Amino acid sequence: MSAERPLLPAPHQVIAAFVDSVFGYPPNAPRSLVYHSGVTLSATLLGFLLGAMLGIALALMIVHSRVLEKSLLPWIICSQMVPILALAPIFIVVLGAIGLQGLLPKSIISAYLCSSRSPSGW
Amino acid sequence: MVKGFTAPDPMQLDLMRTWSATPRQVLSKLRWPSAVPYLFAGLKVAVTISLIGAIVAELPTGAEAGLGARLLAGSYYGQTIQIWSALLASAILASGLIGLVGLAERGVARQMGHGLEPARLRLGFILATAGMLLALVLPLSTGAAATLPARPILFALTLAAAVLFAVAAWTGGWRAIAPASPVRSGCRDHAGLAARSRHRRLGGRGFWVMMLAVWLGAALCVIELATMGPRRGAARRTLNLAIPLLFGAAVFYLWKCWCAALGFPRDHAAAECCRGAVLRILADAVPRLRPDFRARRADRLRHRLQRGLLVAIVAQRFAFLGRGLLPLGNSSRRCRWSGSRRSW
Repeated sequence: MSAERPLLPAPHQVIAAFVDSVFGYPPNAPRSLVYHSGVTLSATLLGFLLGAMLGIALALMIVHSRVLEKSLLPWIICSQMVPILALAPIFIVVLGAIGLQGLLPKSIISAYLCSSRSPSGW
Repeated sequence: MVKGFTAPDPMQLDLMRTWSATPRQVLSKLRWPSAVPYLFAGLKVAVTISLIGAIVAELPTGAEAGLGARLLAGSYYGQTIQIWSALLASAILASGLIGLVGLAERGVARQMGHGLEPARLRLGFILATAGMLLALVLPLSTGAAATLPARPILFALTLAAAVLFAVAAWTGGWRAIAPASPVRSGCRDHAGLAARSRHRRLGGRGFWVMMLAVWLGAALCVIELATMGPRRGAARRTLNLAIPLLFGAAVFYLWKCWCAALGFPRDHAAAECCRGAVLRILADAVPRLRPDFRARRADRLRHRLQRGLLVAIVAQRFAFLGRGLLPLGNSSRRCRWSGSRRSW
C-alpha cells in the first residue's frame, strides 16, 4: 500500500481495498461498495424480471406462430450482434428525453439484453 | 427457449394428438416441462447478461451510484485499485446471482422428479474464484519477514516443497494432489524473497528459478489431475473442483510474482522503471505485429482463424489447458448443457 496509484495493483492491494470499502463504511455511505452493489443489483434484478418474462413470452409466440418464427427470430438473433456499449447511450438519451431517469433506463437495457438472449439462446 | 419448446420429438407430439389434446394442454403437459432445463440454462446466461447491462448502462449516464459509476470514476482519477475492487465486487455479485438461479433450478428439478445432474463445472468455477481469493490474501512483501531470523523458515518451506515434489514424482497417481500445498508454501517463499529484493529492479536469480520451479510443479499437478482416472462419483467431482481451483491459484501466483518482481507498488522511481519495462515489451511486440496489420483483410482473417484453431488444438492436445482453462472461460455459458443442445 506504499504507492497510491499503481499501474497494475498487486492482488493484496485489491483485496485490502475491497475489504476496506465493503466493511470499512456503513452500507449506505457513498464510499461503500455495498451501496454501489445494491444500486446495480436492483437495476439488474428488475431488468432480469422484465427481460425474462418478455423473453419467455416471445419464445411462446415464436413456437406457436410460424410467421413470427420466420420474421421475428432472425431479428432477435441479429440484435445480439449489436454491441450493447453502442446501444446504451442511445437508450439512455431517448428514455431521458421522455422523462425516464434513474433505475428504469438501466433496467430496460438489461431487460433488452435478457429478452433478446433468452428466446434464441438455448 | 425456443429450442426447449421444440425439444419434444414428433412421436411425443403425435401421442398427444392421439389423446386429442388441445394446444394448451400440449403446452402445459409436454412442451413446458421439456423446456424447463433450457429455461434455466437460458436464465443463467440472462442473469449475468443483465448484470453486464446494468453496469454498462451506468457508464454513459455519469451516474453517481452503482458499480459502473465506480468503474468510471476510478478510470477518471487513475485509481486502479478502485477499478479492480469494483470488478471484484461485480464478479462476486455475478457468482451469487448464478448461484441463486442454480438453487431455483435445483428446487424445481426436485419438484418435477428429475434426478439431479451434478453441476460440477459450475461449482468448480465458484470454488476457483474462492481459490483465487485465497491466493490473494497471502502477503506479498512483509518487511519483517525479510530479516534474517525468518530465513530458516523459508528454507524449510522450500525444502518441504522439494520433498513433496519428489514424493509426487515417485508415486504418481492420485498422490499428485500433494503438490497443491507446495504451491501455497512457494507463494510464501516468494513473499519473503520479493521483500528481500525490493530495492532491486528485478528479483534475483533465485527468485526466478524458484518461480519457474513452483510454476512447473503446479502445471504438472494440474496435468496429472486432469488426465487421471475416476469416471464418476465423489472422486471425479472433487477432481473437477480441484483442477480449475489449482489452475486459478497458479495463474494468480504468476501475477503476484510478476508484480513483486517488477516492483509495481514500490515508489515513484520503481513505477517509472516498470513503465519502462512495459514500454519495452510493447516496443518489442509492435514490430512483430506490424506485418500482420499490413496484410490484407483475408490474410488477417486467416491469421486469426489459424490462431483460434491453434488455441483449439492446443486446448485439445493438452488436458492441462482444456480442463484447466476452458472451464474458466466457458462456465457461465455452458455450465450444464453440452454443445450439442445449443441452438444458436
